[in-house]
Amino acid sequence: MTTIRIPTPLRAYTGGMKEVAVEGKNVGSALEDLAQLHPSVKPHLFDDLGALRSYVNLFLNDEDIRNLQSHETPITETDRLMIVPSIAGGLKNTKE
Amino acid sequence: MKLRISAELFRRIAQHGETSYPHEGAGVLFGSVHNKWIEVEDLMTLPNTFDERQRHRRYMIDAQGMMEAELAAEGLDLEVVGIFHSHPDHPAQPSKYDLEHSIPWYAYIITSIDAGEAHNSRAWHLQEDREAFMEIELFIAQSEV
Repeated sequence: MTTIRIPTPLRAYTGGMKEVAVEGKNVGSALEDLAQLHPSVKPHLFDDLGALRSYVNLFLNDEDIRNLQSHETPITETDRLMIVPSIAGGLKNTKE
Repeated sequence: MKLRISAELFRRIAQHGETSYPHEGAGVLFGSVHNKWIEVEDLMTLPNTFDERQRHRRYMIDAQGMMEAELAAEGLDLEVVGIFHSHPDHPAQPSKYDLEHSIPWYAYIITSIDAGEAHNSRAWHLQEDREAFMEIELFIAQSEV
């Protein structure tokens, strides 16, 4: 089974697990399996239309899947997927 | 929640805000969480990858930077427990933009930098419902002699 590493903010939705073993032939099916195993994590990964949220990034063995075949990227049992949030912020807007 | 950080790490956060001025500077806090205490044990400064024309009022730690931070924390047997960033010539409190873009669970340390010098730092925590930030008590631990 492929391992998915869960970032700290999402561990509350995976029963505190740092890593979850999932089944799937590609990145997309592995994510679907994660959402099935831990349904409460799903809204934090996907929007209402089922698309991956903009601040959620996926790395397969340290390589951004956007540089591979995105959700269609094939995976094997020895692979490790990492869910990584991107972070942004800043000052108040001029209208605030 | 309460956050404890050493005086040395606290100084590094202030220095990063000062050297990044007039841009926002940012980085990641490593540590652990026990019984409502966030213990910061190390940190990593990271490039502000927001569009350069907006870096005086915006910061971004991109996916590559966060991935490197996650691996560094793992190598130290620590967790990513929060984010720090500076507010050049603005108070150390979260903006609406921070509210819209922050992630619950992480601790956020914001440092105000006035005319290039660190003024003060405050720590915050975004509520689970994303409605508001709650202030975290910040404890600066002096090193033992």
